[in-house]
Amino acid sequence: MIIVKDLSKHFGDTKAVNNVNLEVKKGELFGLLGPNGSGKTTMIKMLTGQIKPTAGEIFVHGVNVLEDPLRVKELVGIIPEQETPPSFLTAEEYLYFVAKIRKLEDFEEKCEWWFSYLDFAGQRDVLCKDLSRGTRQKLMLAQAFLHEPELVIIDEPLINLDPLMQRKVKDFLKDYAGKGGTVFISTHILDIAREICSSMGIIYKGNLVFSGSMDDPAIGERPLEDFFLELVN
Amino acid sequence: MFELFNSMMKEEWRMHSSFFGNRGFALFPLVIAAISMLFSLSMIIFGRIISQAEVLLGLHYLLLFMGSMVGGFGLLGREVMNRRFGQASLMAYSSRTLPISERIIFTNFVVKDVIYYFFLYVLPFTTGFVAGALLIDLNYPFITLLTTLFLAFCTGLSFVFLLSTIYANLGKKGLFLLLLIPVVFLVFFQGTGFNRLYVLPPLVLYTNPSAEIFIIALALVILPSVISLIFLKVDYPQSQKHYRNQFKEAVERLGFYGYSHFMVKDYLDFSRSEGGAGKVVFSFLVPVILVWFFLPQLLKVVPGLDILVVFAVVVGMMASSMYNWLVEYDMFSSYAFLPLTVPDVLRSKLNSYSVLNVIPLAVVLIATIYAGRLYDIVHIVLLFVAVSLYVVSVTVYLTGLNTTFSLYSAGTFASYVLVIGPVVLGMIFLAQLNFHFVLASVALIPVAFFVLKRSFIKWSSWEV
Ligand SMILES: Nc1ncnc2c1ncn2[C@@H]1O[C@H](COP(=O)(O)OP(=O)(O)O)[C@@H](O)[C@H]1O
Ligand SMILES: [Mg+2]
Repeated sequence: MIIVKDLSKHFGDTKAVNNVNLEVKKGELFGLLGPNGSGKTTMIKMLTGQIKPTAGEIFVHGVNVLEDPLRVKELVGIIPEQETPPSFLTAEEYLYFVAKIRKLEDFEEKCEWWFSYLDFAGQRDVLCKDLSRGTRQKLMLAQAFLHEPELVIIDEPLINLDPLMQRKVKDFLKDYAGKGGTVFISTHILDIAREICSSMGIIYKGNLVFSGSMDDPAIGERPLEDFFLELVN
Repeated sequence: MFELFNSMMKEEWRMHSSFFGNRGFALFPLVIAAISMLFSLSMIIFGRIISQAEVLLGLHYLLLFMGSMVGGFGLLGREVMNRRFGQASLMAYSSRTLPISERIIFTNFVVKDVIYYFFLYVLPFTTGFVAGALLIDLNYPFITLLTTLFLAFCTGLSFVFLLSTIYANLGKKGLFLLLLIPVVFLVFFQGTGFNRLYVLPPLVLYTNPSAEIFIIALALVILPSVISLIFLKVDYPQSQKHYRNQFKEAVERLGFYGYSHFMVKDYLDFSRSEGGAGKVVFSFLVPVILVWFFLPQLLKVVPGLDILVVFAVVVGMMASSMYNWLVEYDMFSSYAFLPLTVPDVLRSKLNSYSVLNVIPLAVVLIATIYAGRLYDIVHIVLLFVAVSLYVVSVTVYLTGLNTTFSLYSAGTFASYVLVIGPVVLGMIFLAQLNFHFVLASVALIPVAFFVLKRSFIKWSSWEV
């Protein structure tokens, strides 16, 4: 579903992503783990055709991202790190707007479903700019799944959500991958990975220091934190 | 207190320079100086038709006008920043998180604006002008001129600050107040015409200096600011307002049109933002009315100039400012994860721009009828449409989706003036030779489309 070859992105002297090779298969729930500033967001922006790599190749859904970034954005559901729909549309209007951009039909019921599933129907008529961060994140989740993509790429999916909602979103993502969808998430919270991911990659200072299945013998039964510290030391 | 002030200065500088690069921004005063130097050098040609008194009058009103534009931009700009980056990111809003009163912060804010813009505009402008004059053997007392021009600038700034405070306190009712401004002007200058303009205190201070007039000029700067600070109202979004889904209805009604959802979004952004309608009145209609009123006076230096032609050209240029409003509310990053390209967004904005042009078009039509020149309507409308389209295409090419900030970059600003100035002056010149030559403006339309085509290419190669 995702193939990354020798991918690098440098900002001046900063090697935000350095020569990364990676593959994510259909049906996986892949977690890209790493502390703040390790290159997760940069990686996701390249995967989704939002910024150009310094070097390397990316194929998503069989599409060469560098050649046709628009096609990738059509196919994939994306939630960026900065969850800002900075507009004067209400939550509901924003979803309708996205649906129009994606040329969807019969989206109203789906919107209803998301309002009730993530429990924010009460905020549907509030302007996006006045929504709390948590509600914006809910809106962004709904937006990404509206066109029922086979692959979703989410930068820090649980950020700003309360524990109850975190549980719901985790369950939803697991379920989604279980039904054949593919999910790529980034997070700096290591525990999330063990809880829901089927495979993971660990990125540190732009280098992918590990990638593999969650039951890779190298990890064993240790807490992920220990495994991570061992890798970077 | 001083520390806060200091950080605000730094913030302002970084905010500006981060938008268009340090060097581009640092050169901005040089461009201003170059332009004002051209002004004073041009006196070699116009010196015979305009008197020195009129030159000084023009200078002081120009600075007054610049002050009010800068003030308007400062306040509108802040609203934009605030929308884009959230209030938490600006010093001006730190009273929410730091133990400092709003009034102290805003006092700092105003003083900072004044000092900042002194170095950015007033000083380079005066220096350029005086230097240019020296080259043609005209001597102006630098310090005096700098002082009185600075006072004129601050008067404009201060009055806009007052107006915005009134507007913030009165809300919709404030709109009428804004509309009253041109009416007051009209009444004030009725009959006596141009001569009353000479009462501007900073100007009088230059021509007939005295302690009294200095105090009056100073009071005109300080009083409005103090009043605004007393009645200061900072609107924090506290209440969550609820809106019914207007988007759905409107899109259904316009569904036949491919860009309907963008246009409806632009419309909702505009009408739901603070002072949506106020912005039209304040930054478009009021200036247009003032232009209509002052144009005949300002143009008497070039006898026989067709005022209606100049008016159509000026309104065409001012219309392009509506493109700025349209892109103000958006950053591309809020579309970057959707299947859209920068040109898609630009196209959608141009669509809305075309629709918005109905307003200036109506203004031009009314002016034509008012001037009793209905028979010239085809020429005038064509001229207006061509200029509006041409100017907006250049704006799109140079600045893309970042209009307000990019125009402060020296290079961009200079290209803007150089590409638009000669064309616009050329059109006026042609009309002067023979009114029917105005029809030549039709040639600007394909040029504009070509420039737009190039802009789409230019802006799509940016990132991705
Ligand atoms: N536009 C940019 N310009 C310069 N440096 C950047 C830019 N974006 C990210 N970086 C740098 O790249 C590194 C990785 O950042 P990021 O991908 O945001 O990390 P993460 O999402 O893992 O926290 C950081 O050192 C960051 O400062
Ligand atoms: Mg990140």
